Amino acid sequence: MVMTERDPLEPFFDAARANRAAPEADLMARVLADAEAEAEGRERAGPAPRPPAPQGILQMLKAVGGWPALAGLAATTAAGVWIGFALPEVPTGLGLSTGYDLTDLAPGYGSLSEFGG
Amino acid sequence: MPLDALGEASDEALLVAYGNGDRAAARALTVRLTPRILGYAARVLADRAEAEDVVQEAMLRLWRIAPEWRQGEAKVTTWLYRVTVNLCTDRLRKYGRAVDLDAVPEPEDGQAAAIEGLIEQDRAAALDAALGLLPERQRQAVILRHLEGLSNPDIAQVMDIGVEAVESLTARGKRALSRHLAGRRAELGYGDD
Repeated sequence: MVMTERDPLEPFFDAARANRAAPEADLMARVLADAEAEAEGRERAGPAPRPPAPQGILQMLKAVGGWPALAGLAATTAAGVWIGFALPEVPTGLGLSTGYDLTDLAPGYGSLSEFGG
Repeated sequence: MPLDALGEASDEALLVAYGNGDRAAARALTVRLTPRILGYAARVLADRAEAEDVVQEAMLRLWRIAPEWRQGEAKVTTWLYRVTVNLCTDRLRKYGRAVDLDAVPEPEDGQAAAIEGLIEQDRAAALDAALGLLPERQRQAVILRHLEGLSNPDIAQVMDIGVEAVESLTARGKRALSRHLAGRRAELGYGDD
């Protein structure tokens, strides 16, 4: 008779698997009682508070109106930067003397400055 | 979850259902998973009461994680075995190894050994005794692979090591088991095959 080669430990493993500990009803009942208690506890406590949503750049973008809003915001920002840098150049860069004083442009400013000292 | 769907549902689906309040899903999971981890714990701890305590604790942790279970990240069985293995390790370190090698019965004499059931029990007891002689990690790997039937990648996750380390542990463990059991093969009804 031809014998196939077999792991010599396999009969021991077979025997051990056949002699496996089986849970008794008491253990199953204890485990189920825990499951019941946990579920009841959660129901009594109500729904768990939702964790705060991550405030990534996309959430912030969504809050201000999405990509179109970002485009408008970018254009406005660019215009502000340009005005901030470019406008002071106009009176000095052209070498013009306007001859105007602040009080000419805002007549109330003189009295205000006098009042304020 | 409908009763007829419980038997076919995956462990993960049942766990999520329980996390949403489905008690029937908890019953199905208890029936399905408790025997598996009890088999491991009882073999490693060699103490029925200790093993049952470990199983109850591991299942309790499963119930608690249920509402937060992240689907698709891990297998429920792998997670549960990992918890069970760690709980058993903690108990063994705290109380010492429970395996009493002197309590393992010697093989029955030839007449009694003719009863196949007793031979099987003797073989199982001999294996348990030999497993008790292995270093802890080798014993865990051999039991998970050859008695619990886990795959090497699953064992790697359970033991938090690489697959190659699992293969090494099981190979060394089996060589050591063979040495320990070599002198008992004839006594336990095995010929020199």
